[in-house]
Amino acid sequence: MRVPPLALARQMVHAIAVNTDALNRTTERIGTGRRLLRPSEDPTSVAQALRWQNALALSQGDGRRLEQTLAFPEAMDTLLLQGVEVLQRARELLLMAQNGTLSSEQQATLAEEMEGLRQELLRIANTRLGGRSLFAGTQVFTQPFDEGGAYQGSDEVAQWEASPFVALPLALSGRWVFQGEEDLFGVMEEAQQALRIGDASALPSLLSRLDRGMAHLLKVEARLGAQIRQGERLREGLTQEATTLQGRLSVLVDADLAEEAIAWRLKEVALQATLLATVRLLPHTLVEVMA
Amino acid sequence: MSLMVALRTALQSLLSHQAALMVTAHNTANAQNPTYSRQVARLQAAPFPWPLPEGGDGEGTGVRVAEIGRQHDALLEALLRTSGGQVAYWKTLRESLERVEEGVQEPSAGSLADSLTAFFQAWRDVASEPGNEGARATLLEQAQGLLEQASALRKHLLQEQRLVVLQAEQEVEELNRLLAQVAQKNGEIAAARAAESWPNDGLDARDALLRGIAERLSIQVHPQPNGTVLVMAAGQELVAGTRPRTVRLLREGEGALQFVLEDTGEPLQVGEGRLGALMDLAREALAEFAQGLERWLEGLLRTVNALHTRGYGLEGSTGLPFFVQEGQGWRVNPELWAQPERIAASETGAPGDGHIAAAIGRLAEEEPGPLQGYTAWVGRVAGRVRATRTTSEALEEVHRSLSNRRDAVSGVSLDEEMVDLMRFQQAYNAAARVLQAVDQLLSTLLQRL
Repeated sequence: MRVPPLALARQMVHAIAVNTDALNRTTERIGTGRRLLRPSEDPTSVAQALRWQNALALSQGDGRRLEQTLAFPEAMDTLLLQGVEVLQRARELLLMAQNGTLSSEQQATLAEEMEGLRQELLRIANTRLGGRSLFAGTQVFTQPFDEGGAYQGSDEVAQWEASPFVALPLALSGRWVFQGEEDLFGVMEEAQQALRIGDASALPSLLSRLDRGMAHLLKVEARLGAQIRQGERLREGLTQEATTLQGRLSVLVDADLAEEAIAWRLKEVALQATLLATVRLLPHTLVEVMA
Repeated sequence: MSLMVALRTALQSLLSHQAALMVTAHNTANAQNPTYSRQVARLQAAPFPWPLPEGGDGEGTGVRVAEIGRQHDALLEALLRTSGGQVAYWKTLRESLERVEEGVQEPSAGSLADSLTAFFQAWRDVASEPGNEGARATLLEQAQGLLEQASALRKHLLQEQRLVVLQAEQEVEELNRLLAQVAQKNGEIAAARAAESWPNDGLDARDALLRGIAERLSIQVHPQPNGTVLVMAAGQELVAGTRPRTVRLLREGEGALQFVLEDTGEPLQVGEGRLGALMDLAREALAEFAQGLERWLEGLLRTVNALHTRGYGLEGSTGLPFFVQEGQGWRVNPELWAQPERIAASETGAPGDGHIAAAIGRLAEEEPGPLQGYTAWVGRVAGRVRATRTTSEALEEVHRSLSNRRDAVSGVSLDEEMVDLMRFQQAYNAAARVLQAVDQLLSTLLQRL
């Protein structure tokens, strides 16, 4: 077959272009650290990468949101424990009054303290975090209880569904927490009055009502604690999930630098060989021999 | 044979080999000309003039150049035209689709998929803290960002559609120029044939012009006895003899393109080639991508709006759409920009409720959902680019191989030319030597007289 210099040159130029292009792409991969430079290089991997990327971002976002949101149930938990302490002190006061050995002055002091405790419980119930009431249900901008202990919030729990299985409460219904089993503010008000007038007969029933209310508060606290633990477990799960997703995404989109470096070297050798062949082969005609 | 005839024979040889040397020089000069076909001086023994003069014995009278021909394969040339048209078709498709792909930029930070996730993240942030003004302001920013990204991609597609029309206009102009030039070459070649000369360079130039036409549309070339060619496209004459026809570009609605013959207004069947690719791009690929993106975006925005209008803002407002249509595009409801508290995150109207925001946030994971819709769109673009690139590369390989075969037949080999140079030079020297010998014979005779 006749191989005129024009055909030879075309072949050589094509070979140089192919090798240069391959080298250029490898250089681009090394430079950017990315395996996929354009969607058309691997459409399936790109579609998969977009899914992982979205899942990773959501998982990291959920983790961050969980971190911020857990502050609400944690604050409520602390407040409820404080509430239990207040109730325990109220219980002690009632027990002291019940043994019937106190003077009317001492009883008046107990009544004063009882009123103080009621105010303390009201303060706890009306606590706000970040400008939002913790015990007003979904009416987060409303003060849950007025001075008289009347509930003004919502009975609906404000909650965030961190996952299809975990819903974190952001604000509980104050009516359910503090007045669910017994109206604790009412009980304390009655106790204060009974102490003030020295009505010892009312005390046993008030004591048992206080006990029931306290037991309810403890139950709520226990449930809240369980929800917090659930949230923490979810947070750990999300961190783990993010690591797994990061790994999967990395396999799809990140360049393996060692592999690319070797590929680069091989392609560089191929290009050099082509250039050398071009330089050596093209000038070989009878013209030089004749000269 | 008389000495005078011998003298003439030597002279014939000198002239013929001089002509052959000229052809070799022409070949050598065009060794790097890709459209050139090697020319060959065909030498033929010159017979003794008939009827034989008295005493003549019918011996030859030397050599003459019977023809200066081209080394040319018409079948290969036709194959090259077809394959050139196919390569041009797929290359045009590929270049345009690759430009579209450059605007997609997936997967990367700051891409549309990224903005879409960020948009849903912002809704989730609002869901986790419905009363947080900061989260609401961020949501509005992210929504605006998403719309801007989608709009940039839409503009990119629109720009490509405009580019296709512009390219079609230029290609039609070039096609008309080529058709006119073929007609002109037809005239020159017919005149040269009539004058019994060899218009080899004209034939090469016309072949190159025909290849140029074939790159733009599918043609059939019919050689005529007078040396001209009849150029047809799907049964319609484009060039007959020295008469070219003109092609015109018609723009139909929605960016579709149509090519017609200027004189009759008949639509032209362009087949493969650049014009076919541009027509297909305008009618199918680009229109399909633009509509796909439009449908996806509208679906997403309407889904968000449907949920949002059901919800309540912090101050109790309801029934507000999150996105509103403005002319051809969409924007975030200006009422929400003015009062972010009107973003309807709540399902019940209670400010601590974030169920609507959570429902919109959950769209991010829904299957089939907005992300899947967008991923499928990217997949369609990427798949099309990949398939086009593969076909284009395969056809380019075929074309290269055909070009090499053409060069193997028609290309100039300097080695061959150098050998010919030596051959003809030697023949020329030999003829000169014969001339010298006859001259000596004549001198001998003259000295004796």
